[in-house]
Amino acid sequence: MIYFDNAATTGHKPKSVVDAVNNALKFLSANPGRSGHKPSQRAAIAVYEAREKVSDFFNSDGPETVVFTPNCTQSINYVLKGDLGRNDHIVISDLEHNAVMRPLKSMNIDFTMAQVSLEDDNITLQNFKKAINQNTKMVFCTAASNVLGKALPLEDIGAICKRNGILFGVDAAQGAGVMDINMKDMNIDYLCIAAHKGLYCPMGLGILIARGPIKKTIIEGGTGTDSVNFIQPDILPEMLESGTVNLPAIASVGAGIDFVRKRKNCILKYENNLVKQLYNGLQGSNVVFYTNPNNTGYVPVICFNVNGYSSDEVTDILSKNGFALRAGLHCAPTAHKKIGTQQQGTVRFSPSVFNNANEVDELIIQLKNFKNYQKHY
Amino acid sequence: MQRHIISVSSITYAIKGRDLLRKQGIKAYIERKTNQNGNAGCGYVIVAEGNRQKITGALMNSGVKILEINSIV
Repeated sequence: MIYFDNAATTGHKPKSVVDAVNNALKFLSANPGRSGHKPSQRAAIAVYEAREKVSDFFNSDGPETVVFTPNCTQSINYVLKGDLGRNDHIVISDLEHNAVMRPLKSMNIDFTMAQVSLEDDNITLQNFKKAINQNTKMVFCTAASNVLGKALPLEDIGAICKRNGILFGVDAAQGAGVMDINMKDMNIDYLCIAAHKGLYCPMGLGILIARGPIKKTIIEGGTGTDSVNFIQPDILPEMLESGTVNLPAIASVGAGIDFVRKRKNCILKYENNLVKQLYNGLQGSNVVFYTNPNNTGYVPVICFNVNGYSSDEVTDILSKNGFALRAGLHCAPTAHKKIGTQQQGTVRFSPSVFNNANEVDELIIQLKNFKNYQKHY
Repeated sequence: MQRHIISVSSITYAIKGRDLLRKQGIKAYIERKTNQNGNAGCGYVIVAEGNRQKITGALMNSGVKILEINSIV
């Protein structure tokens, strides 16, 4: 099976990450910070070192700003529900995942959706500026669309937020590890990360880096701190880490970051070249793309459809022929509405550094021969 | 040499405090409190040796909130 569904989770993990997980299971299997014995202390130090590494990689204010969560969705919920109140207004983009849309809907928060131009970031910035009003407390947007691959101009949006005294949160599920994200330079207050994607860690690990305030929790419980008190502690990171954390995954974050850091200047280019190869190789075929990866400002994610087939039919046939791609709406109906595919969905192609040009060539051949496959209904 | 037993809010701050004191050449380590009296904190303390003002200043300047400090001569 050739795996091209890395935007959902990176399918292949570096050996160093696998080794780090194994090592943690063998030698760090104790609850960090809870008990006084040596294994617990070793586990606590491993968690702390992971926080340091994350803070350093994304240029945050220190290890205490780094919160480990079960996934990026939970990180986003912590930000939105932890900081927004009934009368607050928030600006989001029109490319957001349901991890943003559903919390806002459930909170009944007033929001304005700034349109992202797929061609001109200046238009995007104007739209964000226009969307801000006197009640706007936060701008929250994706670093890059999980459907279209379009990267947002984070540094410029951060500058707008700074000028207006507004908090800035970023869903970096698709951006972390691929894009160069510097929290201080980009004025990012909250960075939400799916460590199992671009950082190549195991599933079950999200990260929230909070430079801004978190006023409320959505989960309370044991933190290993201030245990005599029934009131949830208000000090990060433990405030948001009730219950036992995923230590084997956390212990692998350092290896994941090292893997990415060594390839920092080439991951984006390498993976984008694979996307361009697919796009260019299928010009004039039955395949329809919705973005042009030859333009700048894209991460390695692209969607397409095959004329005459639903997106599910395409991925089903591809799966039977040894290719793993994802069909449907990708939990981001707003992005599909933008390109008019909210009914049929699209097929998403998302390579990782473990893919190569030969594999893409094989997919191109499959897709060019699609008319030979029988439809199911 | 004065020895100081410093309670902080969490294991994260205990390790952070230990590391930043060490970077300033101050002997410091963390240990589990054996005499817990139910006060706030994580159960871990930073044990540091040296000038009390220098130690507390270094911790507070880096955002490490001190909950309690006991100094032993």
